[in-house]
Amino acid sequence: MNTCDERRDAIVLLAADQLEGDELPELRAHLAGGCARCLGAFASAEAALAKLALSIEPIEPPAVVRERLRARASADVSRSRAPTRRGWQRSAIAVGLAGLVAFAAGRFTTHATVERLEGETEVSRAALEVLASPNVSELDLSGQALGFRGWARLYYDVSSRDCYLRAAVVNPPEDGQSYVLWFTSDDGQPRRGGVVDVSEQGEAALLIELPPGADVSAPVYVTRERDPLAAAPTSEPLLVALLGGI
Amino acid sequence: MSDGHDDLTLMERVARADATALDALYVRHAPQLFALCARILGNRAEAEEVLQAVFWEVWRSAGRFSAVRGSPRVYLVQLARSRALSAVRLRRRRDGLLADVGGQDVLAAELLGRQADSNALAATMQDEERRRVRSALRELPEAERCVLMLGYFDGLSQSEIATKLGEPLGTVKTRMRRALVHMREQLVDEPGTGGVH
Repeated sequence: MNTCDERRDAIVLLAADQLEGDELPELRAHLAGGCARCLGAFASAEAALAKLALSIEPIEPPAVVRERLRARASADVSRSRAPTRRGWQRSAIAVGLAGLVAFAAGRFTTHATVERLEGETEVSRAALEVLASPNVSELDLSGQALGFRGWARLYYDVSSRDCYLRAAVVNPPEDGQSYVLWFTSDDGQPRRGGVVDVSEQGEAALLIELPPGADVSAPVYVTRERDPLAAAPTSEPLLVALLGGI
Repeated sequence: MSDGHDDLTLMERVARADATALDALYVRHAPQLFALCARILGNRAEAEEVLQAVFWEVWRSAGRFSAVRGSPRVYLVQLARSRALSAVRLRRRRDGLLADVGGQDVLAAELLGRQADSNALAATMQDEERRRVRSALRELPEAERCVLMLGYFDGLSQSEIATKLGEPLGTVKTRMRRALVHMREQLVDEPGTGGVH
């Protein structure tokens, strides 16, 4: 059994995420027990180590980062103040997209083009509703396999159960193969989400409803499949959820 | 660095969904956090993404911030470091390598401020503190400083550091412990001033 004095060095190692071995569980249990002296020492060590960041000369980030953050926060405030947020957003989106379709119809006179745009508009509208939902959760998926790159973000609207996946920087699949999104059920079974069509630019978007029985807090992943309609994954995950996101 | 009491006030306002307070917090801390993220990630574009994610997380969770655990600045630095290291660890797992980890020479030049010495700034509180940190780092033997930097800025465990440097694990552990204890002794605030900055 260590004394609080003997724990001082271990505390600074813990603050730096460098404590290993038997000392780690012992110290964690001690801190969890509420020792005020050691908790104070831990806070002091964390504060001291945070100053290491000052050893680097500050760099002014690009103005666009601040602008994006301001816009996002302002939009969040506006949304939280709007009493019938979903209603007016739906109307605004519908009016805007109807205008876009009308504009496109004027420019592109073929019926087929208008039909395609209307179809895309419907998908865009549904995707926007997921993104604008007050109940949206985000889950980041990142590449885990050697020789594979890419990332994706899954937006999940708890209220509607709609899921919208956006992927970027993904290697297009080899000929005859497809990327498939999978969820996991409460009992650990795979639940097929859908095929993720990756463009030549490495981007993809997929709008689906959460499969029945799927649990978004359980693993969500993407595999490469020969059969795009496979009922269960046959290969290792290429993109998997990053718990906690960044 | 900014006044700690003002930071606390800003955090309280952010918790009440005051977007101007978030912006003010950003102006105060973003340059240091961006430099930290860029150092850890070695990539400005990724650093921008992480920086934005950090401040968005502050926006969404400022209500859970507790000044008892530390100052807003400590919280922000820890958050940025943690998120940047998560991103870099994912990249390493994907690539299966430690090749993107910064080398000793780079660390020595970068962290001891040789490049920055020409940018002599006004004697602000932050600059004083920066000098204090760099001075504490310079006092460390190079081997201990290297181990500390690989742990703090590259997020390597002591075992990974031992592998990377080709040193026995026991040696790395000893150096890490000495280095951290030295930094704590040099940088810890006096009672009554801690947690304010």
